[in-house]
Amino acid sequence: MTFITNIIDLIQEFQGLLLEATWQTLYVVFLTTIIAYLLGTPMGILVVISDAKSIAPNKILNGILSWIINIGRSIPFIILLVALIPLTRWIMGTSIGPIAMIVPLTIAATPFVARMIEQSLIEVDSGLIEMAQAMGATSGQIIWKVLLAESLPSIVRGVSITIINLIGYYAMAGAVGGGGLGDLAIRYGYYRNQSDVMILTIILLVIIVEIVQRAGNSLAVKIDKRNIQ
Amino acid sequence: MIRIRNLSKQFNMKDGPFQALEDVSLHVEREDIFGIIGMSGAGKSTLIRCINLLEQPTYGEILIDGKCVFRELKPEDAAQYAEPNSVRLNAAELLQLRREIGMIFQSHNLLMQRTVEENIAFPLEIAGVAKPKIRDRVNELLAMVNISEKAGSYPSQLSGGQRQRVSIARAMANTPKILLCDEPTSALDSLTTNQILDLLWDINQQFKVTIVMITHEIELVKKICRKVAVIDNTKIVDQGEVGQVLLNPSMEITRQLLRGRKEVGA
Repeated sequence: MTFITNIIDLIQEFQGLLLEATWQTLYVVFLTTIIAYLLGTPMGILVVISDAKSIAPNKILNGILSWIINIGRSIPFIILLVALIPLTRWIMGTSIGPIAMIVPLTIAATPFVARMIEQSLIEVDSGLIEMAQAMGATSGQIIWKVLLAESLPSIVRGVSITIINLIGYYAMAGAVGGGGLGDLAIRYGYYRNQSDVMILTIILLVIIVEIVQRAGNSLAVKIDKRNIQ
Repeated sequence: MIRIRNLSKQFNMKDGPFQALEDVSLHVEREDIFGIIGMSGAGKSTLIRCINLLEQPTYGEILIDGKCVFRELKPEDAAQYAEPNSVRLNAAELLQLRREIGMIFQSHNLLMQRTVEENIAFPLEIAGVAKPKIRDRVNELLAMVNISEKAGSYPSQLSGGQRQRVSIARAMANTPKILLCDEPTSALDSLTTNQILDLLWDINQQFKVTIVMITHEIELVKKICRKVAVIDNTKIVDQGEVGQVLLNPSMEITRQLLRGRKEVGA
């Protein structure tokens, strides 16, 4: 019982800090996900439709976008975070704190989102695109009514993967004073050697990730009409 | 209704050009049911896709309902035609043409995330028809293919034959003048095949739509086609009334198709 009472004492002692850090994690990840999808979705769509076999072949555009997505995906986030400090300061006026972190997180997440969207859209049966073309659909109608509509369950799964990734990235941002649960873990667990606080943040992160994962999966299953009986 | 002259199609593959169609000419009369029969790889799929310009031919001419929708003349053929030597539809004309030509596919190509009625509404939405009008038209089409009770179901809940009936209703949504059928029954059992053929026959009779059907099965041609063209190795080798072509087969390939197989080495 001492373990549990210890935890309860700990939570009471750090209640304010934990709540603040959790709230920061949630809103930073939420805002970044929205901005990254606004930027990454068009990129993902363009890279799919500009493919040689798709509806708007364009070798140059396809090459440039694939290159951007690959480069963006291959830089480790902790390095990107440090490298982008000047840019972050220029855009946000500061390079520390939760809001400032939206800049490097968005830059890291946008190519990731583009790749997730690309993966979802290329799963769509090419026969459906041919059908839509045969019906006289415009490219916009094919994108909206065929590609996006048919891959929606897969896109929803991608959103939960993106959110989970961003929770991990944002925890790293704690290393440069970015706030959130990662910041708390590093300040107390690492610099002050209070491993119980670190364990508490880990438990919180695991719970948040689990909720996002389950919510994403059950929503995807609910909207997917392919397996309906 | 459809007149194709000297049509050739060459694909540029990585390992050089590939000839899919060579000097194909045929004439499909209004309200006819026209079969194009051939083995896999003979070029029949490419040919039917040239009619609604899903494939851009390399050379030749296509007239739909008297209107030239594609022309690209080889220098040596130019003398037989009036000017100009090259005709293409612009983007808007191409969409308009395709909205006037229905198409059904072997793999039905239904949108899996849409209900039966939403699938049938798809070409109407594409063409910008108003919502109340779409609803009325969809109800007519559901009744036409006798699937009204499945209006709210999803394709995953339907049998193969039901799916193909939905795709026929969808293809007929914009009351097309021409219905292209790409191996429409190849994935179906023989009983269902007969039901689909009966439906196509009824649609042809009732709505006066010109049907072009490609297939590798001679039975389909015998059952509903009035005219047939036999395609073998990129070329049309025989065409005419079904009785004439199939009862007195003059070409070896036709005899092979009648026997149901292609001889090795032939």
